[in-house]
Amino acid sequence: MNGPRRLLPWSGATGRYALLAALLALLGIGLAVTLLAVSGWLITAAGLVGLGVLAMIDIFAPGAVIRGSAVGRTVARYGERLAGHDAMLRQLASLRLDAFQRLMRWPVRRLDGIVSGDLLTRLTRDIDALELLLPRWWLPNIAAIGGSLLAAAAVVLLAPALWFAPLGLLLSALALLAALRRISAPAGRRLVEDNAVLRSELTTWLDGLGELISLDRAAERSERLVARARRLVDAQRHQRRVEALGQAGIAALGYLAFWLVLIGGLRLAVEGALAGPVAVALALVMLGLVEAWQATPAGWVLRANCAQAADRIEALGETANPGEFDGLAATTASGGSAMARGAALALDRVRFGWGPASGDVLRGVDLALAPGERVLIEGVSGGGKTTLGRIAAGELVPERGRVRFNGEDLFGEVEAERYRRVGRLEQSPRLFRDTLEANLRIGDPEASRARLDAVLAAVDLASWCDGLSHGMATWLGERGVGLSGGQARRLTLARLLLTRSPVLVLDEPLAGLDGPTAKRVMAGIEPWIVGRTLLVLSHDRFGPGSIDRRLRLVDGRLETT
Amino acid sequence: MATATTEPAPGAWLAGRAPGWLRPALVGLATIESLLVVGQAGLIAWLCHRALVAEVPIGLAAPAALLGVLLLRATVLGVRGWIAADASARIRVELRQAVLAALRGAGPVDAPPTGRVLAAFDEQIEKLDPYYARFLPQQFAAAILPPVLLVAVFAVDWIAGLFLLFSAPLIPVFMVLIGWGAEARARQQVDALGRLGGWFLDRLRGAATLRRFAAESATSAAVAQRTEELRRASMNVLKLAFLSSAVLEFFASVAIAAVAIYVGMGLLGFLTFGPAGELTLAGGLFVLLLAPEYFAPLRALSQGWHDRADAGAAVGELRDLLGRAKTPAPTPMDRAARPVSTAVPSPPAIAVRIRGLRFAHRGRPPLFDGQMLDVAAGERVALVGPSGAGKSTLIDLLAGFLHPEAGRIELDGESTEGWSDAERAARIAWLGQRPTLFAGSLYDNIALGWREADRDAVEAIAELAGVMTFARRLPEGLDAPVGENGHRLSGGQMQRVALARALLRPRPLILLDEPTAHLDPQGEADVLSSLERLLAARPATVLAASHRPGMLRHVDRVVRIDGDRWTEESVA
Repeated sequence: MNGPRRLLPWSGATGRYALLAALLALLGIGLAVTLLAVSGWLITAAGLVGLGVLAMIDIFAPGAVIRGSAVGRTVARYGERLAGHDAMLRQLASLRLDAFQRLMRWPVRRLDGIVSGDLLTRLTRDIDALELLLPRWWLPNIAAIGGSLLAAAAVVLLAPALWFAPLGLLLSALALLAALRRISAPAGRRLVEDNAVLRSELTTWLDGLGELISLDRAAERSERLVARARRLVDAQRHQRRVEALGQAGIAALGYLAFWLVLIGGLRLAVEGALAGPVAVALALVMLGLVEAWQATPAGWVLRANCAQAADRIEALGETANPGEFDGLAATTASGGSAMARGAALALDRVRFGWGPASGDVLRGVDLALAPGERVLIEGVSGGGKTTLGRIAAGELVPERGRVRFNGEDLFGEVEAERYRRVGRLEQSPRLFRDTLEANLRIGDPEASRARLDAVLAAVDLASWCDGLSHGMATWLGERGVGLSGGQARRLTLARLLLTRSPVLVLDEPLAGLDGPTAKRVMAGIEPWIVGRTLLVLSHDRFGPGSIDRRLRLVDGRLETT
Repeated sequence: MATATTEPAPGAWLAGRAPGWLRPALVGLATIESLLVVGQAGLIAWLCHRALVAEVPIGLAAPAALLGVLLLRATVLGVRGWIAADASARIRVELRQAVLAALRGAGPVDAPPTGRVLAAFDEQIEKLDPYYARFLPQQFAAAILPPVLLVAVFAVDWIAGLFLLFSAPLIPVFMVLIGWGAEARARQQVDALGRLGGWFLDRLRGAATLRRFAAESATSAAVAQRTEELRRASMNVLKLAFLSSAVLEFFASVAIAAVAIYVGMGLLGFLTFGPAGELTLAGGLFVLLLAPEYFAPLRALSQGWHDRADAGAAVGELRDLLGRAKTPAPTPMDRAARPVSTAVPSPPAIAVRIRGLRFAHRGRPPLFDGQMLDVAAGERVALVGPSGAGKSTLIDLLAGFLHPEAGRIELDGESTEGWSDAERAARIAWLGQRPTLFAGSLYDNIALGWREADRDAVEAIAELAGVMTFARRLPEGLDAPVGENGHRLSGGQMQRVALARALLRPRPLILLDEPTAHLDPQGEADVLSSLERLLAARPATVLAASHRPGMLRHVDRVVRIDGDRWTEESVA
């Protein structure tokens, strides 16, 4: 359960700001309590002087302390919030990088599943929860515990007989908080699981809304969703109730400690064992602590959820070593500034299946592409063309057989090197929320502006780009310009063409394009693919222009057509 | 400005969602709390007076009473949190219900994208929890406690009361000067943080693509850089935003200090004006104890501003979503009030008559304007035309997913306007481009089509629709699990299941919206032969939007739809 501590960085500037925030939190509670206590002391002492019980007192020193702590408390609180937020935002950056790099080390087959699933939503929420740990858990606890220790020191120093009240408060409050965390943890776990199911059921409901309405089942199905949402909300309500009980409990403990010091102190004062003003001041110290403790229960409920969040992030696997990915881009960029020359690619008796239940998708595929050759593979959708393309592109390891690149085993190379040799156009285009230019530069970070313009023209998007209000700097995706499926596909094609991979695997490159556009794209990309080896996968009898050979994937084997 | 007059402010909208008992309960609890605070201060001051001034033992009754008051305060705190949690839970469930009802009303065509619905249904509604569970109770406490305590202070010493009275209104003044401008900017910062979160999520989704292009280190650097940029920008804004709560803290501290010094000087006899000369130790302590309590609710409220800002941002999105239902989904009441004929009408096929049809998609020029069409009972009509020219829109209008602006759609002479889902479902079968399989068995998925169907009927329709041809090969047959975590079916197989489901109950009008658009030739052939078998067994009127030649072989008539030009074509 030490996950959060391992994940949250405390070194460097983050640690300095966190430490500063913690010190200011302590200072803040110290000054708040001082303000109250010295004020109480002053009033009591003044009252007793007025009655002649005490001799004249110096009013200027306490007055200065009161004014100083009034101003100091404000400054400390302000500084604490600033420093705390600074440290929190630094931690957020670090948590995100950490999670991203963990995912980057996943095997490709594991990555396949996450795009549609809710793992990523959960991951980002986990990060958000962990990020709050500093302001909601660390700082309130440091203030409450530190303040209690200071109070205990004051009580032990001035009224040793009352030592049990501040120490008892500290210990019983910590025990109560630990119990809160234990009670709320199971609900937290259920929350995450139920939420995932609810999201996926809602997605299915929305996808099938037309059918459900036409069958008059939409209302009934939405009732089921509501029932699940209600269970989810019940788990949250449980946590909130625990939090409310915790607040009541911690306030009761704080008030009890205050009461003990007040009554005990006044008894001592009546017996003459303690000065009256000091008794009042100590009681007010304890009263000031109640507010500090009241901020803690919410943090401990959060802490319970954070422990699970950290476990989930750690379950993503190892994080990357510093600099681990630095070499990759370098090799890609240095892959030759000259236009890529074609290379030979061969698949020897390749077999592959997605699992024991579904049987083999590929049952001994033999295919040899000469350098610069263009081969089109047809076949029904779901027949294994995409799988074949992913194996040829070095993404999926075949169960049997080999993939050879210029005669050498492709899978003998590291992943990045395999991808550099064989580029692949994915079936469903994946663009990023960023500018048009940034999306293209993923293919070639060093591309000149002219080269980017040229590749856009090649895929028949030049005039579309000219029509955009910000041209290449236009933001794509959410809050940006929307793309049709065909435009997105052509952009991903352009991105791929910018790489210098000698072999390209194009999965349905022209799907979703109307006839005239497809013709223009085929003609436009010709200069970009000339000399490269091309493997085109398509379920239409329709592919880029000059194809050298056509093959058909039938029942997991290739046939000539 | 026009919207401001018609739509209540987010705060009013949020308050309107709360259950009726919440407001009186919170008012009651805040009132009790304020009385307890006064009682607590009074008892403490009295005890100090007895022990220190009168110098008599403090006895048992007063300490016991004080302990009781203190524990009651703690209890009030707990009860407040408890009922606020209940209210928040109830509101969020009701809102989710309302969102689903609105989506049903909007129909599959006008429903927003899945991502937005998920965000609203899940994240946005969750953002209301801190508002109802924390902010709202604090708001009531801040409205009730300070005035009550002020009255108590005035009763003892009006000069001390003036200190508190004048420092409190200064707070809003300064918060206006510093705070609210900063709050708007801080809210933008929260937005920016959210946008960056979306940006990051997008990078995670594209992890495989980034790997293919060796963009790991560049993306890592971008993640670090963007978060760092946001941190710098945030800190600049927060420096100002936090000033507003700092002002509050400052006034609270200074007021306490001023009260303490004033009371001290008064007790020492340095001040002779007004009530200062008559101050007693008990009165002074009483005033001092109430001063921090006077500011505490205001301070709590100022710390919770982001709860309100988050909820306010969510309101806009939710209101938009809830406003989407053009025709509110009929409530069970409506249904009971109407004579519903959901029995399958005879004859088995139905005539369709369209007159003066007018329709425009939101914010676009009219697509149809006064069109007419007659389809005889039992006729099979293909709707062809370029994409975007209105084939699917006409099908959606007939299916009731969209509503015409003007004109009539009649089935066997009866206008379909105002029909409930149940009434439509009894007459119209609809099949879209991509069928959805729900988690469950093949059998469950087919039986979804008609509640009253028995096993024999389901098996019969599965046979006719060609589901059995592949179901037999599955170990569990029709009971094989499909959908998420179930067997993976091909597009053609899924479409046959959907066909069986749509026609399990005989329906006189069948609407097909490019049902083979996403299928390969084999899948298309399978679906079309299933359809042919089904229509032979259950004659019906068919309207099919399609441009596939396979489909056109099976129809009697072809109507070309190109916006507001509808023309008959010869059957190819």
